[in-house]
Amino acid sequence: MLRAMPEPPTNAPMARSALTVADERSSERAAGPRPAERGGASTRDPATPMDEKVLLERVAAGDQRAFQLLVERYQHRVFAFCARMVGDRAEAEDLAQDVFLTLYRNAGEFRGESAFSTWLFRIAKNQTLNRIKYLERRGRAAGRVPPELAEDRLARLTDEDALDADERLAQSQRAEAVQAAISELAEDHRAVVVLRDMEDMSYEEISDITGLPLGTVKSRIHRARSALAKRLARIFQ
Amino acid sequence: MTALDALTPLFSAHARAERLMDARLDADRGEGPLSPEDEAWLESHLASCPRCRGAFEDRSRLVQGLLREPPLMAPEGFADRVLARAQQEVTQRPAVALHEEPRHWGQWLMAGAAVAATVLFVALAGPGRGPTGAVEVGGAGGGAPVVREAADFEVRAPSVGAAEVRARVVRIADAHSGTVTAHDRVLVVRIPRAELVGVLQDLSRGGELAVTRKSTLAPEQETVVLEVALE
Ligand SMILES: [Zn+2]
Repeated sequence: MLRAMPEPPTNAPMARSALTVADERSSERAAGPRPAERGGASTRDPATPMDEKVLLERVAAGDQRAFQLLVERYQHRVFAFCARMVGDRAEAEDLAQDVFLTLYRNAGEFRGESAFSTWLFRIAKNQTLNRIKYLERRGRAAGRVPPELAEDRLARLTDEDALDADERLAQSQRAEAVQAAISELAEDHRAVVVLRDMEDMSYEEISDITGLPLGTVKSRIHRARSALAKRLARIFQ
Repeated sequence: MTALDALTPLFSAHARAERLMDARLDADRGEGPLSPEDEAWLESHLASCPRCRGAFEDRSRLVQGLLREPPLMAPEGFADRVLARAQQEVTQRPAVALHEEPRHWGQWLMAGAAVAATVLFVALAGPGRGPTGAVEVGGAGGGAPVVREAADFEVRAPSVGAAEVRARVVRIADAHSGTVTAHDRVLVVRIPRAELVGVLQDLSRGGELAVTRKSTLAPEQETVVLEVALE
């Protein structure tokens, strides 16, 4: 017997202090939605986890429509995380598909002890690290994309909104530099800093996702930021 | 007083400032404020130390810059392709899908989440423990485990229950002169450092327990503590 499925919450854009305070450009720039805005609602939204638990129960019962709702809600965040980790669009799509398929097969395993998004990102993190190891065993260093390829790929990775040519070029170069610097980090440092500073997750959530103690999460983020700051100081002048 | 003595307080002041910078940046993003003492101390250090001031500016520009990067979006048609694959599984669900493809072994890692055991590597606290050394055991796809540098591990058991994991961990610890104490749902395993590689190999033997993840472990540490969380 299936329960009535509630409508997914509308994800109203949420003010993000770091953006609203510090970034006067962001309101002008035709940016894609931030994590909390482009679906995959923030786990801090108290209405969300219940809905998602219900959706997952329905997925476990074979409800394709419930699965579709979850995929649509989280596709961008999962894809973005995978792409940041492997630095390759095709590989990222492949990985992100696998993440959702894993969710599909194991929906019945979700116990609701953590937020759904935490559970999903735990799958994504595990599969991404496994894929990176697999690629390395095959002699393909994931995330170490040759610069000329990176430029092309990252130009397409970024949001293709109505930007003028100069701004698009600058954005593409910045995106390339950012991805190159991220790819230089060790995988476990890469994962935590991407979750924190690009997916805007809390330390608590990252600790849940990685299974690492809070202190370890903090020190990894600290070290990752130090390394990135060195490489990107010029870019973010 | 040697030159080094004279420099030491300065080094530790910079180090303290570095630690507090992140806390300050994260305070604006829901991680709670610095204590008034730390806040005041950081303020005055930044005012008097150009090096740390520069580092703080770089860091805050970095964090704001990363947050401001246009988010990556899944490609057109992504959701449809996922749904098509899921649909295909409904019509031809393979009996042992999770074990078939070595490339996808992350899937069976998650499949066993309910009975998964997480081994967290806890380096004993103590002075002078630099991040170096340690071991990683890989090779869950068969063959001899690959042992490399690393530390904190996650052990996942897709096909065995918590009781089985417990029994196995106790047996393995025993065999390596280790001890196991049980705390609610966590097993604390103490083993001599020299046994670490053997313990990890035994844990991952047969592929039922997969050991993944890595970070660091101080090389001078003699007793290693593993925490096995029974989920
Ligand atoms: Zn200083």
